[in-house]
Amino acid sequence: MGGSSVLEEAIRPPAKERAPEEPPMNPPPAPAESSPSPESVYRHDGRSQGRGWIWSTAAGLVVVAVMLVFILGITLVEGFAQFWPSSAVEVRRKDGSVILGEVRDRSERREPGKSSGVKRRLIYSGRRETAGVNDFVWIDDPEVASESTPGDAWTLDRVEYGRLYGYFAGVHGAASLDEALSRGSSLLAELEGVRDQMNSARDSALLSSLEKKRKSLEEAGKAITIDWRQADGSTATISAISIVRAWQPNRMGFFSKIGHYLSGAWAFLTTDPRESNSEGGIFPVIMGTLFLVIVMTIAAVPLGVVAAMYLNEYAREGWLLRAVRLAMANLAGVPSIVFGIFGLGLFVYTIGAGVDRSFFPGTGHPTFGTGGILWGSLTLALLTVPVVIVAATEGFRSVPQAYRDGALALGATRWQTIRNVVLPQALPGILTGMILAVGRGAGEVAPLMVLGAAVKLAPQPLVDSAFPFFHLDRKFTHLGFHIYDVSMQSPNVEAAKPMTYASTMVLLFLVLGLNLVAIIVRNRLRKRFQGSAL
Amino acid sequence: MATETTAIAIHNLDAWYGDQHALKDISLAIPARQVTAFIGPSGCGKSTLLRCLNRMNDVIQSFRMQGRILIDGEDISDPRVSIEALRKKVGMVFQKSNPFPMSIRENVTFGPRMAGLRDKDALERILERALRQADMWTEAKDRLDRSAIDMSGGQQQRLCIARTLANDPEIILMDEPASALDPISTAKIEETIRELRQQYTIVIVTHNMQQAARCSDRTAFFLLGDIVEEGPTEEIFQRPKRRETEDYVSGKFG
Repeated sequence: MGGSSVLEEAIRPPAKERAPEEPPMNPPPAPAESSPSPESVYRHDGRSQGRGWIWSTAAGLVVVAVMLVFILGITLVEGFAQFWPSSAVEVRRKDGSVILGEVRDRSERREPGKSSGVKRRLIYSGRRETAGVNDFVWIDDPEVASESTPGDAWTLDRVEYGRLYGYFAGVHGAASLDEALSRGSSLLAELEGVRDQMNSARDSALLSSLEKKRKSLEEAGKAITIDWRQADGSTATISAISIVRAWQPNRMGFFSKIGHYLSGAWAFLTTDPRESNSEGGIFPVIMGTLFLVIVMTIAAVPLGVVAAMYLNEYAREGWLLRAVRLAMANLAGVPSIVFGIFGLGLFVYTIGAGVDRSFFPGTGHPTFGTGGILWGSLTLALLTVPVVIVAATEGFRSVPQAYRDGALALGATRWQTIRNVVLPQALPGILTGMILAVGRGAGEVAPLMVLGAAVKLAPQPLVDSAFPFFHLDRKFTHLGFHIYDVSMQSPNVEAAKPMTYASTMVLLFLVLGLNLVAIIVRNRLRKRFQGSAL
Repeated sequence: MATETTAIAIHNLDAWYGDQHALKDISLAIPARQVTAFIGPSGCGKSTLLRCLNRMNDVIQSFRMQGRILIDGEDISDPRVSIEALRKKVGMVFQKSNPFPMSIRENVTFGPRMAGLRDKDALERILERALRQADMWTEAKDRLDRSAIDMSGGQQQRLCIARTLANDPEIILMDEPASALDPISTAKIEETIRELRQQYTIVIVTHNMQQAARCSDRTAFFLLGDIVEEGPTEEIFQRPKRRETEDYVSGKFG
């Protein structure tokens, strides 16, 4: 070590002759004509050092980084903002009308040809049962006579018709507002439990008893009502069972807002959607996505690894192998919609229909002959197998031949060599393939839409208490499809906007989480092989 | 000196890598329980011949060979010969040490385990014997479960020798086993070779003339796929019969 550094010192040019500062990145080799004499190598001129080239690579990186920060930033800010309890604002217009709600957006309206526009705000006041499409109203700043944030204003999250903003005016069927709210929410929870049971119940006696229970719960709920005075002076009477959550945003301190925020976020992750996905949670959506990715991984990774193993360890080099490799690389670039149509033809119309004919004859409705999570997963598996193969091939190639020779020379068979020496070392590469496959599979929507596997609302959950517990034939909801649905297909786009951001954020975190797990596992494995002499 | 029985008999062996004729009509008898050194310049075919002896060249697709190699009177190319059994009987140590990224214990017991030995006590006995034979029991006995790739280069190479010895071979092939090591590690390896020759037939390929002179009983000099001269080491180095041999051992070319 010491000897070689002395040697290096000797062959290095004197410090004065060297370029005063090394460029931060590796410059490309200087053009051949600029290096005939030794001093031109050290000449400090921009062209020979490829300064322009360095700048353009840096510019490319900046563009990518800005895009990334922009997408992540907007998603995180808007996604996280959804659960923050914003103030309830009472706005009195110059025409005398009053509106109570919350400010959802601000912008400037500009008439054509005028240089300055009119500032305006978007007020959400909920209560679609009476407001109709006017639950969101733009109010121009000049129209506003006065604006206040009254401390006694309530905000209610409701099961139907959006939020309600109002002032407490009286309660019937209960002693106090608190009692009415707590009984309402416990009745609502019970009612949802009964509905879940009804979804998976098969037996008609059980169904009718559940139906009876549902009716009695609904009756009990209707008996407790609360009056809310509206901003326009009228009174809205709401049954307690229809209230998901009630809070007084203008009286909340910072910490109670944080508590509200966290419980709201938790509810978002753990409850079912309401109001055609524009409100409520995304629990079934997350479950659907996770299941899809898990089944896909189980199908794609072993297949891809075995294929890569054959290609690398057993197949003889030749034109056939090269053709297969080329086909594999091309398959990885086939548009996903093509895989969707292929999956529809193969899995749904051929295999699924065949399964139905043989195992479920005479039911009158398709069981496996329609898009279900199994077919969705298998189609995505087809889509991701080439990715796994390419990455696993790299993994196998990275194992030095010397290890194989060593094992073979000790009398191990080829399979023993692969199983005991090659495979453990190729694992980091294989896991890389898995990461890429999961990342691609989790975000893929088009094939699922073509298959009819991902739907807006899954009629039945993927997991329930009925045999066989995991229902791979059922339709499911998927985060990617959910984002498309709430952003593009929602009957109330403005109301669904926060859902879009929040769902996107969850999808990003889901993929990030899956990747992190795989990366941690991979690094653990790498560490085990670190310091290898080869 | 050990009795002059022939361990490996090579008859009219030709070998090709693709179109390249790597070995040309080689015939050689390698005596049992002696050290035979193959010397010669790079690309002369000495490693190719060594790899023929345990059929390691089977891995290379373009390789082809003609002729007969008899080990204990049995043709090793015979389809009835189990290649795994052959490689257990004819062990090999490579130029670059290649311990697996496993513990020392797992490395040494790899061969017996692959052969199906499951008995823990028997494996422990083999482990200790092999490490003692390779002169590394004292330094390894307290770190048997530590990773083999944390050891120094010389230790790694001796571990590879121990790993080969654990298979209880009859013949050990060594392909420049010390070429990547420092002088002290090299001396230790050579000492190990001298100790092992009482029990095993050893064939060693080396670029290092002194090494061949120090630790081999017989020497074969290769040039361009031919054996130019073969005989007792002393004769090859002191009284070579051929001009090329003399030039090579005296360092005129190499």
